Amino acid sequence: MDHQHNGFLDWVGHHLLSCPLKLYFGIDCPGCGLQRSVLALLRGNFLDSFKLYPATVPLILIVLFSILHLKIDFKFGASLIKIAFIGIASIILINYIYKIYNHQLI
Amino acid sequence: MSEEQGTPQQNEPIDLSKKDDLAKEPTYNSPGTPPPFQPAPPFQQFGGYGQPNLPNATIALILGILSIPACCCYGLGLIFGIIAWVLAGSDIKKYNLNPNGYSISSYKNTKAGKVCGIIGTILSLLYIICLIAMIVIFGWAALKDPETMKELLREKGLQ
Repeated sequence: MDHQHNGFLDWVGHHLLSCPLKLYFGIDCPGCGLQRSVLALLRGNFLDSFKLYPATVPLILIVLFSILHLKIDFKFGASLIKIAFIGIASIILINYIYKIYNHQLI
Repeated sequence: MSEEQGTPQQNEPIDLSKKDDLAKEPTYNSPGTPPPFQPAPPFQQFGGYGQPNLPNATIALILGILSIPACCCYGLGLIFGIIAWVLAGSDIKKYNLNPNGYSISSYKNTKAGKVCGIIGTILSLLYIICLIAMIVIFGWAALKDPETMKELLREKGLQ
C-alpha cells in the first residue's frame, strides 16, 4: 500500500506542469516550486515543503478556510481571508527576492 | 401531490380569489394622498438573514483566491484575477445602488474577492512583465536554447 502510494507520487512528480519561464529560460518564476512543495507535503516532509515553497501550507489553509466560510459564513471570515491573502502574497514576494539574492533561480 | 393540484375544479376558486386581490390593489392605492416613493423591495428582503446574496460573490471570492496558485500556469492567474476583479466590481456597484437588497455577508465576500483578485492580478502581471523583460533582454535565440541562456546569465552575473 505504502509502496503504491509512493509510486503514484513519483509518477505525478515526473508529470508536473512546468512553467514557460522555467522551460525556456531555466529561471524560476514566483510560482515555481509550488507543485514540488505540495508533493513533498503529501509525502509528509513539512520541512522540504517549506524550503521549496514557504507559502504552500498557508495557501492550502486559506483554500480550506474559504470553503468552510462559504458553507458556514463566519462573521470575520471575509476580512480574515483578505488579511491572510495579503500575507501570502508578501510571503511569495519575499521568497522570490530571497531566491534572487541567493542565486537559487536556476 | 400532482393529483390533488391537477383537478380543475379546485383551481378555479383559487384563481378567482387572486383576481379579487388584484382588483382591490389599485382602489386601495389610487385615492387620497399618493404614497411616498419607495423602490420595490426584493423578493426576500424581509426576515433578517433571508436577504439574497449578491449574484457573483462566491465566484469572485473563489477566482480571487485561485488567482495566486494559478499565477505560474501560463498566466492563467491574470485571467482569474481580472475576472474576479471585474465581477466583484460590478457587484459592489449593484450593492451600492441598493444596499438593503443584498446580504452584508455576501458584500463582504465580494470585497474580499476583489482584493484577492487585485493581488493575484498584480502578481501575475509581475510574472508576465518578468517574462517579457527576459525576452527583450536576451532575445528569441536564447529562448530556444536553455544552455546558451545559462551562459548569458553567468555573463550578466545573475548566477
